[in-house]
Amino acid sequence: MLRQLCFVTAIFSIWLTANAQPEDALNPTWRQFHTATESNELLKAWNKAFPNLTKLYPIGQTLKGSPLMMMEITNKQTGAAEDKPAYYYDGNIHSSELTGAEVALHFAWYVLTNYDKNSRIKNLLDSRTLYVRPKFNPDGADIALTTPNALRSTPRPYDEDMDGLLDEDPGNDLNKDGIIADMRVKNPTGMWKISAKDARLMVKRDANETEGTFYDVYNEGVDDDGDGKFNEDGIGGIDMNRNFPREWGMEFEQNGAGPFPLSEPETRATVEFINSHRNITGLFHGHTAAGYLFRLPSTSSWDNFGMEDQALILELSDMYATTTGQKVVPSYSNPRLHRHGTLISWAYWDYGVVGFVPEFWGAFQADANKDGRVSDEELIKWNDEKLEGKYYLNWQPFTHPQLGAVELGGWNSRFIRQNPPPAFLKGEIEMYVPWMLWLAETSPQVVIRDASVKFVEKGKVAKVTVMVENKGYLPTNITKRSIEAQFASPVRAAIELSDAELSSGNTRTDLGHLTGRRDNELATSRKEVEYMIRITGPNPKAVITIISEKGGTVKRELDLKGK
Amino acid sequence: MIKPFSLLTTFTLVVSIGFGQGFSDQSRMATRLKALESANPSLTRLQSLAKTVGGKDVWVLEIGAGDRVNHSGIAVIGGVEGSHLMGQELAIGFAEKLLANAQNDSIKNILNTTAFYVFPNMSPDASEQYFAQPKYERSANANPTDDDRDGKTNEDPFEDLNNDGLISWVMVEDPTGKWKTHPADSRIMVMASLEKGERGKYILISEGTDNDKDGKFNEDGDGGIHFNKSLTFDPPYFVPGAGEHPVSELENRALLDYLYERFNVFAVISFGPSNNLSDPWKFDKLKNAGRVPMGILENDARQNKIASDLYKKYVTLKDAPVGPTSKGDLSQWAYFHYGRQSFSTPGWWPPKFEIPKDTAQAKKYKTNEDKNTDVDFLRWAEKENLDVFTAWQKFNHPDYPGKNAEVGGFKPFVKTNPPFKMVDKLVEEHTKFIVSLAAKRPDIDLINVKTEPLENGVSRITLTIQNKGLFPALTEIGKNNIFNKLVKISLTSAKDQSIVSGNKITLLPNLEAGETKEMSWLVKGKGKLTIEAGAPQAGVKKIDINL
Repeated sequence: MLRQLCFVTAIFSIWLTANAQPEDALNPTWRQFHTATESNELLKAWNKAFPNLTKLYPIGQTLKGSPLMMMEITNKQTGAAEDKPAYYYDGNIHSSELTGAEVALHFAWYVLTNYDKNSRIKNLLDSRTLYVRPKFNPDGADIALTTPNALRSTPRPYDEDMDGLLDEDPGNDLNKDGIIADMRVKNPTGMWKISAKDARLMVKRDANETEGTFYDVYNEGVDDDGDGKFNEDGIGGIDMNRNFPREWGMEFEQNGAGPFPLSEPETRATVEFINSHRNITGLFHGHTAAGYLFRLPSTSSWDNFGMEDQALILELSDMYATTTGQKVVPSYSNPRLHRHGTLISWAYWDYGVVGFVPEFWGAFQADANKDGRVSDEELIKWNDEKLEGKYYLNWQPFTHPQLGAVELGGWNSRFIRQNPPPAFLKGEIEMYVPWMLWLAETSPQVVIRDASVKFVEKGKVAKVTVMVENKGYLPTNITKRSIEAQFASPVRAAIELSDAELSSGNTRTDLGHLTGRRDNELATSRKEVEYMIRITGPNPKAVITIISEKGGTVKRELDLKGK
Repeated sequence: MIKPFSLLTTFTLVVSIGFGQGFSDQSRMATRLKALESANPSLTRLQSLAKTVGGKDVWVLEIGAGDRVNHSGIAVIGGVEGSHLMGQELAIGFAEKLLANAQNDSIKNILNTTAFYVFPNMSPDASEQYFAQPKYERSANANPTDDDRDGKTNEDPFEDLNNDGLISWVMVEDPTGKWKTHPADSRIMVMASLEKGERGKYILISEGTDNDKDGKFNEDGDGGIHFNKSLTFDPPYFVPGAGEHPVSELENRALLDYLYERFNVFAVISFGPSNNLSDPWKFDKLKNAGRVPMGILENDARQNKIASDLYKKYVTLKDAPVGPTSKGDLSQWAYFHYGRQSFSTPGWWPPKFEIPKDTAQAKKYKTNEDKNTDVDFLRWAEKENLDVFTAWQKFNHPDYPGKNAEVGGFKPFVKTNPPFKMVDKLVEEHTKFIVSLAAKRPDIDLINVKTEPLENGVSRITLTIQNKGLFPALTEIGKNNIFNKLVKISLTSAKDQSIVSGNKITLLPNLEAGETKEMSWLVKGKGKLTIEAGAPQAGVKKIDINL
C-alpha cells in the first residue's frame, strides 16, 4: 500500500548531541544541526521571547503526523502580517540537505535578536512580513540526521522497481559504523579504478583503458529482495521538489515526481499556504550542496520568460553574487535535462513571483588552488588536515554475504559534501543573511502619500483627493507574468463614509498596477483618486483603504467637518 | 477455470428503489448504495472517501468475492460531468444488475476473479442542481471561485426570469447580435456566417441578468471547479472551472488517492463526454514524436479496438457523435497518467433523425441543409413526444429595456440525458459490456510444471507462465509508469534448500495476451517450495512443488 508507512527506527549512533547541556535558544552556537523537534523548540522559545514580533503555527502535517511549522515575523504593532508585503523562506525539502533548515533558523534568530539593535532590521520588520519555515520535510530530515541512511525523500514508501514491494532493498550499514558508505569489488569489466593521485579515491576508468585493476562500486548494502540488484528500492523515493503542479512530468521523465502534482502533504500545504497568502513577493527555497544559486528557468526555455522578467530574475540573482561572492546558474540549461515540477517554476508561472534555489555549501575552504572548483583530491586533503580525517572512511575488507570479498569505505558525505562539517556551519549560514534581507526589502510598498479635503460648499460638499504611491522598489505586480496570466489583482481604493454619501466616484476603484523605484517613473508609480462627497450628518468621516495584494494594505481616516 | 461468458445471459430485471421514477438525487443514491451493501455483505464494501465542499459524499462501492486486491479490477466511474445524470445511473445501475445476478454461474465466476470499484458520482455538488431550483446544467462543485477574475466570487449567477424553474435561453432583437434563426426551423438559433454574407439579428444569452454590470451575462455563478477539468493530463490553466492547479479539489484527490493504492485495476470505464468505445482512439505517430506521448500508443490502440468492438456488440445505439477528449479530463488521465486501459462513453446520445420517405410525412419538414444537430434533435424529440423545448415567449429583459426579447429554447439536460424510460435498457446493455470485458481481463496462469531429479540432490524445475486473457498484463503506456506493477515470478524455498541456478525473483517487462514464457530453476534440497507468479492487475497464481 502506498500509504502504509514503514518507519525507520531511529538509530542514534551518529547523532551524538554535541552539547551535553541544553542549547541556549537565544544564543545558539550555530555549530550543530537540529532535528525537527529541536528546530521546533527553538521556534517556540523565540515565539515566547518575541511575542510582539512572531506568530508560530503549523501549516499542515506530514503523513506521520509531524507538524509543518511556520514562523511569521513582523512587528504586529505596525499592522497585521497579511497587510504587509511578505517574503517566504524555507529549507530542507530534501532530507539530507540539512543546512537549508539551519540557514532559515539562523535568519529568523538573527532578525529577531537584532530588531532593537539594528535600524535596517527594525525598518524591515515594521514594514514587511517574513514567513520562515525551516523544516520543509521534517520526517525525512530526521532520518538523514539520525540514521545511517542518505535520503532525499520523505519516508513515504515508494515502489521504485515496480515489483509490488515497498522500500524492500535499501542500503545497509554492513560494518555497523553508523554510516552507509561505499562498497568496492574487483571486477575486470568494472567502471572504476583507484586514483593515481590518492590511493583512497576511486575514479572512473577511461573508455579506452584495458590494462589495470578495475572495480565495481556500490552503495554499502546487500540485495535484500534477491532480484540481483543492490539497494534499488530504498526508503521513500519521492522528490518533493518535482511534485509541484507547473510543468510536472511523470516518473519516466522525472524521477521522484510522485503519482500526481501535490500528492504529498508537505507540497500541498506549501501551495495552499502561498496561494492563500497573496502578499508573498518572492521565494527563497534552500537546498545543498554546490555553493551557487540556481535561478529560473527550471523547465521551460529561458526565451519563454520575456525580456522584462528575464531582466528582473537576473538583477535579483546578481545581488546573491555580490553578497556571497558565489556564482549564479540557471536551474536548467541543457535542453534535455529539465527539472519538472519545481517549486520555483510553479511560483513563477502560476503565482507570478520569482523564486530562488540557493545551493548552500561549496566547501570552498578546501579549494587549495582557488580555481572555484573543489576536486576530490582537494577535499580529502582538507579533510586530512583540518578535520582529522573524520569524513573519509578508509577501505576495509569485508566478507559480503552475496559478493564475497569486498571493501567498505569512501566518503561520509553527510557533513562534508552535502553539508558543512558542524564547525563550519556558522560561517556558511551567516553568509546568506544580507541577500535574504535585501530580497524582502525589494518588495513594493503602497502608501497614501497625500490625502486632502477641500470644501466645494462649506459643511455640505467636500472634494477628497487621495494620492497613492508605490514607494517600494518592485512594481505591485512584481512580474510581467502576473499581468499576462491575469492573476495579479490591481491596486484598489475603497472608501467608507459615515454621515456622508458619495456624489461622484466609486466605493471601489481599480488603480491598476503601480511601478516602483526600479522603474524610476513618477507618472506610473503614483495614482490619484478623487471623490465628491455630500455631507449628511453631524460627524462626517471618510475611511480610505488602499489594498494592494503585494504592496500592502493601508488606511487613512479623514475628518470631513469643515473648519 | 473461468467459464467463457455466455452471451445468452440475460440479467434479472432489477425491481428496486432504483428504477421507475427518474434520476436519483444524492440521498436516493445513498439509499440505493446502502441497499446493495446490506443485501450483499460478503460481496461488497461501501465507503465514503470524502465529503465535498458542498458536504456531499464521494462514494465507492467495491464489488467482488474473496481477496479483491489480488483480482484484476475494473473501476466504473459515473458523474464525470455534473450535468450528466445518465453517467451516475449507468454506474449504479451496473452495480445493481451485477449483484442481482450474483448467483448466476457466469457472474459468480466473474465475481470470484474480478474486483469492481464503482464510483457512482464524482460531481455530487454539481449534479444536485438537477433537483434544485432553478434547474440548470452545472459542472462546478461548491467551492466558490472567481470565474471572471474580477476580485469577486459567484457574483453573476443565472436568474430564472420567466419563473418556470428552468434556466434556458434569452434572445434579444438587436442589430449588433451575431445570431439568426435556422432556415429549416425558426425556433433554432444559429450563428450568422460572415463568409456567407449573413447578418446577425439577435443577441443570444443564457437566462439571467448582468448582475455585476460588466457586460457579460451569468459568467460567475455558483461555484466552482469541474471534476473533469481538474485532472493531471494536459490540464487547462486559469480558465473557469479549472481550479488553481490540477487535483485541487477533495473529490479529485479522493479518487486519485484511492486508485493509486489499487494496483489491481487494469481498466477504467468512465461515463462522460469523451467516447472511445463507439470510436476507438487511433494511433498517431505525430502525437507521439515528442518526449511525452500525447496520443494512444500502437499496441494500446489495438486493445481499445477490441473493447470498442465488444461495446458495439452489446450496446445497440448507433451513429454516435464524436465524443472528444478535453483538457484535464478523466478519460485521458486514466490512460496517460494512471497507465491503465481507459474506456469512456456518454452511454446515450440522441439518434439520427431522417426525414421519412413517405411524401405526405416528409412535407412537414423543411430540408435541414447544413444537417444542424439541434434541428434534428428537436425533430426526433417531437416524433418521440418528448418535452425538450420551451416555446419562445416575449418578455421584458431588465438589461434590455424596450427591446424585443424572448425567453425559451432547449430545456437543460435534455441533450445529454435520455428520457428516463430508456435508461433501464441502456444500463442492461452496458452491464453486459462490462461483464464481457471483465471476462477478457489479463489472466496469468502457470502451466506445464515439471520437476526432474538430477545428480547430487539437485532438481530442475521448469514451467511456463502464460497470459490467457485477451488484454496484456500491462498497457504499453503503463510499462514505465512506476504506479503499475510488473509481472513477478518468485520462488520461495525452504530453509534447507538452496537455489543453484535461476533467480529468487524475476520481473517480466510485460506479458501480452496469449504470450508465454518458460522459466527454469535448479534447486538443491528436498521438500516443499512455492512458486508464485502474476501481478495484481493480472491475477496471481501460486503452486506448491514437492522435491
